[in-house]
Amino acid sequence: MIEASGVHKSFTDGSGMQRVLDGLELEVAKGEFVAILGESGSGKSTLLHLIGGLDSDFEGRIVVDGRSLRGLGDASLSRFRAETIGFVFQDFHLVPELSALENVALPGWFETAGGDAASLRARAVEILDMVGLEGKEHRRPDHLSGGERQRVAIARALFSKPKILLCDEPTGNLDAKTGREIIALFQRLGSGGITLLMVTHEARVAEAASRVLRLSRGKLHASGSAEGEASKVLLTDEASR
Amino acid sequence: MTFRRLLSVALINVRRDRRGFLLSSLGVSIGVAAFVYFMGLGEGVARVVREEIFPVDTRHVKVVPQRLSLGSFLGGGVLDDEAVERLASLEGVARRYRKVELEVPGISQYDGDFFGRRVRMGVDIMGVGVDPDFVREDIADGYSFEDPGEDEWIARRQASPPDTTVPVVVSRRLLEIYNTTFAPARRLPRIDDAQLIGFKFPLTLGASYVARPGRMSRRTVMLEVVGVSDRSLLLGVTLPIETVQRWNAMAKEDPGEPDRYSAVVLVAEGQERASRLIPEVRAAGFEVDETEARLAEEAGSAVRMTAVVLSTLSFVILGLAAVSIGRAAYAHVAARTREVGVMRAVGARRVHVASIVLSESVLAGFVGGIAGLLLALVGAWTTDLLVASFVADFPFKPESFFVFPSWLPFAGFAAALLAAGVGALLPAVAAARLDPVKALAGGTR
Repeated sequence: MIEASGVHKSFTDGSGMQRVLDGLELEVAKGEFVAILGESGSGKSTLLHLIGGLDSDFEGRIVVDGRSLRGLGDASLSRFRAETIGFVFQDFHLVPELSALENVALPGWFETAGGDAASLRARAVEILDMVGLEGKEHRRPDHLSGGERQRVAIARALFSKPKILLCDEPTGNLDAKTGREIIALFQRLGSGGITLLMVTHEARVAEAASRVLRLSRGKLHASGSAEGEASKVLLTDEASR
Repeated sequence: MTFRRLLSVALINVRRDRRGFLLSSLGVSIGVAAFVYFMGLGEGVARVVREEIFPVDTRHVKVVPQRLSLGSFLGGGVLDDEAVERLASLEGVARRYRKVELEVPGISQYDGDFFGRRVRMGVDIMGVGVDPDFVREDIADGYSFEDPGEDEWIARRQASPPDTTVPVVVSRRLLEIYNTTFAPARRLPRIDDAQLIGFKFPLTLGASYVARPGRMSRRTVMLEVVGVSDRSLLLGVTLPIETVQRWNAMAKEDPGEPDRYSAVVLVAEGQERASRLIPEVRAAGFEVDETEARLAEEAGSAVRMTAVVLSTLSFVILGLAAVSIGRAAYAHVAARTREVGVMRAVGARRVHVASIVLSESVLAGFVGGIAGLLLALVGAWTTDLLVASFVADFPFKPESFFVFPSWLPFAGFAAALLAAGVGALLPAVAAARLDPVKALAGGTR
């Protein structure tokens, strides 16, 4: 489902050229739930942006769902994102003035062959029910808890029935209990056939994935066991605090 | 993204910032209101000039003899029957009306009741004779504008002297000037068209306060107003042409001299044909009297030019509204940078983002346009009401100073949408060009 080979990505900042991804290789099969562990600034989010077609400025080769992302124009990348990818962000990125229902239906605004307003609403209600937010459709984000906001964000990501869900620190702003609930939701979605790629710096969150990779020095390293790699990262995180 | 969906998104965004939307709409509405108001005022005043002060039928070509004529040597100059028929036979001439100036001096000495007031006055009267059909439409019901002929007139006078009158038509413009300036100044009653019909006053031919009376012996006739017309002589009376010809003949040294006309009005089959007639008339050795048409044109143009200058002010207002809309749109984009990033992440194309920004502003233009049109109508109505209530009457004071041609609301509305669209164009492009990754991080490129 996802193939990346020889991916290089650099940024220029005040201290000069920073190479974030350096010949990265990745393969994710259809329906797989993969977690990528890495420290802050290791390039986890950058990798998600490249795979999700938000950033097409890279060297190497990325093929997602049979489509090579290099050199695609704005329209093709937008269509790719609309049809194939669902994004879940750490900060939820909900529109504060819109209700949960309207936030979830946001991708429907841009569908070429979307239904009418009523069918969009019906679809949004169905997905909100699926993520456990029945009865809260008309609440605005500021009237929802952190976990509920992330569920709305997940529902929005699922609205267009994507093949791949890309999750960027999805539990980063949640307490442990709520984080576990969100991860359980991901597992449930994964068992439904959707491909999940989650980046996180939390080892316990990564444990839920079927495979855990570690991003370090611009490359992904397969870990022997998710638990072992997670412990390393946790130790690193704790040491850095 | 369908238009309906775009509209619903724009409405959602409007709901999010009602105050900003109303401010943007207000700016546009003031500009549109000023534009429609001043253009309507210009059209309204131009209409008064065109239709009431200088009523000119654009199909009419008024032919007069050349001022400097070599006579029949060059086949022109004299407007006699032969010349009139020659002119009438030009291609595209539907009708012709002859005019003869009353050459006999005449005065009116009036001493009696004048619509409830006793009046004594004496004044020289000028007159012109016209073909009766020229003013036929303005003759009051039950009245005739025909010359009975000298014999018939004498017979009638012998049978019933007080009832024997000569029909005349007076100028509607003269009546307007009388009502709005002369009557108030002399505390005389105002008169409308209907009251004036049937009014009789004497005319003594062969007498004058200001000129030599001429050869004709004095003769007094009673004139009776049978119509009020825009086509009548402004300062004088309009009579049947045969009447004037009879009276002029009495003053001639040679009564057998053939009739000559002071003017002939050719009615063209259309306005375009009338324009083409002018060179043909000149080629036939006559002049075209365009004095009234030129005055009407010049006055109308001056009024319109003033309206256009005032309307320019409205474009300045619309320009400022566009700048204001642009600033508001930039502020919205800056405040919603992350939202733009999310939209791009869920599949929005650049054109979608630009369309959303533009649609919000165009919606402000739409609402501002409608509000502006209503504001202009209310402003026009209020102006008319204030002028009617507080400004003293003056000649040709219209009931309304405004005319709103059918194109004007559309033009005003289009200006509103254009101002809003142009104002939001740059912010829309800027929003569309945002890097999705940086936008999600809350920054801009």
